Amino acid sequence: MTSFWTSALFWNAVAGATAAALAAGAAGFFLSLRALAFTGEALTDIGFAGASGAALAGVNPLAGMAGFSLLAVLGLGSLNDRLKGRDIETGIVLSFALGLGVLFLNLSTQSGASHASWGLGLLFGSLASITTGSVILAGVFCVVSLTVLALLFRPLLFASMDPILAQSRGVPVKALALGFLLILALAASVTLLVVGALLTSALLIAPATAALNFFRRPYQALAASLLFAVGIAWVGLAAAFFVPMGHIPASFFMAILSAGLYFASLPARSQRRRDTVRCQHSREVTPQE
Amino acid sequence: MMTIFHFEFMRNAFLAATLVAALGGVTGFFLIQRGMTFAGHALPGIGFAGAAGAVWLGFSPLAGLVVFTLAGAGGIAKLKGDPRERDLHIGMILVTALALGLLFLSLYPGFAEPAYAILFGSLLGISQGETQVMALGSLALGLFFVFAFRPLLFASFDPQAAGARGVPTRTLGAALLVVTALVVALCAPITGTLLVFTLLVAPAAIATRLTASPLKAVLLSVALAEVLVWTALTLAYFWNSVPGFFVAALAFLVYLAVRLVEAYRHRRVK
Repeated sequence: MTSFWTSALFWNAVAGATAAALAAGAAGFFLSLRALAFTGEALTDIGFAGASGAALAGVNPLAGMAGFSLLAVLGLGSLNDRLKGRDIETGIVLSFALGLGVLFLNLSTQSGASHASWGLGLLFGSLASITTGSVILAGVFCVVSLTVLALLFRPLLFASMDPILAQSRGVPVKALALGFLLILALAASVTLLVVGALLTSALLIAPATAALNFFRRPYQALAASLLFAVGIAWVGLAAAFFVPMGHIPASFFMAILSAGLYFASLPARSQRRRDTVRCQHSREVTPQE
Repeated sequence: MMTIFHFEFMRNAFLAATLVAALGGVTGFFLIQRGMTFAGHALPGIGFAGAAGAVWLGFSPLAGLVVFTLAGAGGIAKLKGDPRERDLHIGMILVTALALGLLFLSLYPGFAEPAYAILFGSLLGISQGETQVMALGSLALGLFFVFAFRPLLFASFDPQAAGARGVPTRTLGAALLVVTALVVALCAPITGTLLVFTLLVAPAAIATRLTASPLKAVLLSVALAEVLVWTALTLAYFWNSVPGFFVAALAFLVYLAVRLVEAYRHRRVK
């Protein structure tokens, strides 16, 4: 057991999961505020295509993911506002990306470059086989996304909560939207590495949405989102190492924990909504009294 | 060219694909009209969990698919709230289901080949027995659309007026979800659960852009879906690859072409 605590395997998994949780918790906060959940999902599917393409070409999968999704953002970035709420367009792009990923996987297993179970790691996360190179790259992506989000925090918050007012006050709303999508692409890539393309919303959407349901103040909600994400990642990782039943991947525990957190936060949300309604109501009633 | 029909599995695949494409084309039209395409995105993932569970327990993956997509449809039908909130709930149900699917895959001793076939789709996905089950199922679902077409159309375009005239709009909405669940389960072995969404939504999305008449749109959607799956199966056969990719890529290209032509015309009118 002592050798296990010092093994590179374990610390790589801890470092990778933490980097993903921090990046996803912060990017997810703005993702939820901007109601871009489906766009985030499309980005991770594009990242999946990038990673399986990278495997075929023999490049680091994380580099492939980030490269593909950054390119996709630059290509689709101009469509950002128009894509919002257009689930059909997003869905068709998303399916095409998934299809490409499936094709690349199929080609790389046929050519013997990788085993089919490797593709499963891309879809459902592969913390157990994360390499030191990927961990370093994940750390860099995490630091870059956190730094940029911290620097842009106030204007981005303003533009996310009230884009029209922000624009009239001279905030560069469009440039911020594109910048955010680029950061989202990085964060989504790191998340994909840890929990897989199909489960990214476990770290990207659930912690932030739950945090916004529990807390009204932006700083509190952001802090809660980061805490929730890191908590889910660590508890999930610990469960994977200590639950004795065979080899259940950490991403399973993370996904179940995050879904549980999300549904547990729903009563707080409806309570807050009732408070808001009551507040508006009393405001309307007061002048008559 | 006809050698493609020499193999029994190809005949099965073509027969099954022809049936599910027709159903998918009609179902997708109503999903789009009612703003329920996200259900078409989530139900396949939920179905995958069922297939993986069935493989783990030693049952037919198709049975697991049907049970889970039906349960998922039941859950989605119960959800209330505005569409955005509903989609978030569905997304989290999807994450839970996918995590369960992963759990079943991990518990299975060795490599769960049939579950992977459901995830990625395959030409070999359908046996003779399953083709018969699918044919019967498709017939039943086809009859549903024949009889429910007009009330469903009325309820989709003007729910309030339809409700006032005594059309059971809530029941029809739930019935459409159940039908979607079954269609998803029938599509999944061919396109794979990852890519059912394309077959379900893309042909109808293209058709509704080309014509405003509902009947014409449904017929066009079915025709497009058929051309899509036949081309995809043929290409997958000759290139020895996964049919789902060709369905997604062809749908993407056709949709893109339609949008570009639209944009060009729009500019010329201006």
